[in-house]
Amino acid sequence: MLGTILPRISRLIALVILCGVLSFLTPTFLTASNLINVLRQASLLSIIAVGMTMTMLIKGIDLSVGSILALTTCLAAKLLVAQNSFGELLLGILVALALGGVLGALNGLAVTALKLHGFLVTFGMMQVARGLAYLYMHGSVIGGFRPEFTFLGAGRPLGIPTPIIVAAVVVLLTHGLLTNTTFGRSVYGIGANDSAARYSGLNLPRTTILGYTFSGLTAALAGLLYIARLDTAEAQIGEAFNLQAIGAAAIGGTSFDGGVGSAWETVIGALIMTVLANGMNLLNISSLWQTFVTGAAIVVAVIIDRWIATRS
Amino acid sequence: MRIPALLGKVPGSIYAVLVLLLLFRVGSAQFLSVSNFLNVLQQSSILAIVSIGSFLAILSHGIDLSLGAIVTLAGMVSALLMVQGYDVVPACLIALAVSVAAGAVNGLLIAYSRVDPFIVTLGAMGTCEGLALVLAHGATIPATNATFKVLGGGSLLFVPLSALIALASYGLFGFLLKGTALGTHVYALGGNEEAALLSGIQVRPLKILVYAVNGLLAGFAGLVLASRLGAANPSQGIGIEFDGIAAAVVGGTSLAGGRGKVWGTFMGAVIIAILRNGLNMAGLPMALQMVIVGLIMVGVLTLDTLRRK
Repeated sequence: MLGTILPRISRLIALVILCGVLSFLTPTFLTASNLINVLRQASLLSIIAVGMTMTMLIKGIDLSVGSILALTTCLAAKLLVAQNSFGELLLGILVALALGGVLGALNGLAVTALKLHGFLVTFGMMQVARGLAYLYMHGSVIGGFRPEFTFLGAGRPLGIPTPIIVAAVVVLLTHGLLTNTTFGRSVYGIGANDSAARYSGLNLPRTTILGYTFSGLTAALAGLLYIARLDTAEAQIGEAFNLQAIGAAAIGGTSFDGGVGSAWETVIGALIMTVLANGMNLLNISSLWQTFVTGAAIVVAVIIDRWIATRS
Repeated sequence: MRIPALLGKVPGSIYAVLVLLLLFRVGSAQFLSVSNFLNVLQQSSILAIVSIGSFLAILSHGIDLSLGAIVTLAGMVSALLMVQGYDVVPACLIALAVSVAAGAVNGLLIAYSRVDPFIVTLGAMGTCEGLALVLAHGATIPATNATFKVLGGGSLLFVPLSALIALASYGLFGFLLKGTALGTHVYALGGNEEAALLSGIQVRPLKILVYAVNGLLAGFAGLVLASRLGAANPSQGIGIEFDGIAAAVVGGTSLAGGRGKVWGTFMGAVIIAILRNGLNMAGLPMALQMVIVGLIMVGVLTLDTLRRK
């Protein structure tokens, strides 16, 4: 009994232990304001990481999320500023999301039509989208957005920061998409075994394209929340998200061979990474150590995960 | 053999080099000069050395994301030791030992924990980069020792020493992979691990060896880089692992493992170096360079995939 449950909740247990240790070490960790702070920081990462999980489930990966985040928000930014009308604001949000979806779909199309690995395609997209963002912005910064927009990043309806609410909705939707739809079954089918999935009549090219589209869409959405909080858009933002999102998905147990992983486990991965960084801040550990600890945490988490999985 | 079939045998990377040379010849008068050629050779040498590591990892059906971080770490360790008063040779040897150790830890984890190489080396990227940051307290450390500077700045009969070292490394690995049992084993491991294991190849020690050698190559490239820049800073190797992977793949290495040639990787590294150098000389902004590098990479890969059908 325990043998079957333990692997499924081992990450949750790790997160709880981590929180327990931190609340023992520093009194500020277990306060409502700090916990909300952690959740708020984890929300953007979670949104991007569930998109990443989707591409990893279909045996791919998306290295372009950080660049897509930057390009979509930079192109939309001029429509979002305070001098514009509410209608233009909505148009701006739509443009960013649509563009994110289109860039993701291009990734998926290249993966299916050119038969290239997702790693290479999205590596190319990473360079192209980032370069275009720099070209468009020419070193400028666009800021001073309409208050309705900054509310998305900094507002607190009912005391809860908006990004947390958006992230919760995205994660729930993704979970439903993966577990209760034909698309979801097709995603896991591709990951588990390409040829069996093909013979059972699942539409593989469509699923792959949709998977990458989803990842581009989540990147653009997280980007909107991000610039809403910063109240500025610039070309170099979001560069760190690529590897953080891969790290969150990996700590969450998503396999690089496809087929294994879930939205909620990835969110726990994102929370573990965020809590670690938060704890180190509270404990006054030099930020120089954070890169080291994050790297070590990823490896240790995945190794423990493998160990538990082979044991049971 | 008919001519179209013959043309089909030539790897896409060769066409890419020719097109680039033509393009840049038109764009800038200096591009085809001897001095610029030597300059490109020198600039591509560091990437070329690292690319052997990317190639070996991919060939054995893995990947190595930690190479750039080891480049950084090796430069940092050598610079710090020299600042502390160590001689050039021991400082470099210790830096190389640290790099080999980092690579060997990667190999150990990959061989025994069966965790995906992507995630192991991603973690190593964080730890090595983090170590370089912590060791130097985030600062840039000068490396101005005259003997040390020869490594990256010296030349032999007008040819940059670093370029000679890179070429020699390719010669060595070309021989090891083609002419020895060890090389055959690496190809076998990448092609089909199960089959390699069943035919009696010691798969685990082989994996550890591959990643330890990667550490050595990256460490060496790190010394050359620090020597050429005259300093070590905690971010100077970042991103070179991706250029290395691009070089290997553009040079015809299959991401599925077991297929590829080390000299193809050399062509890939030269393409990327020519691109960066040529686009610079043509005065294109950095941003446009990124776009073009991305597009050309996908273009070359597509060409190769389409022709293989």
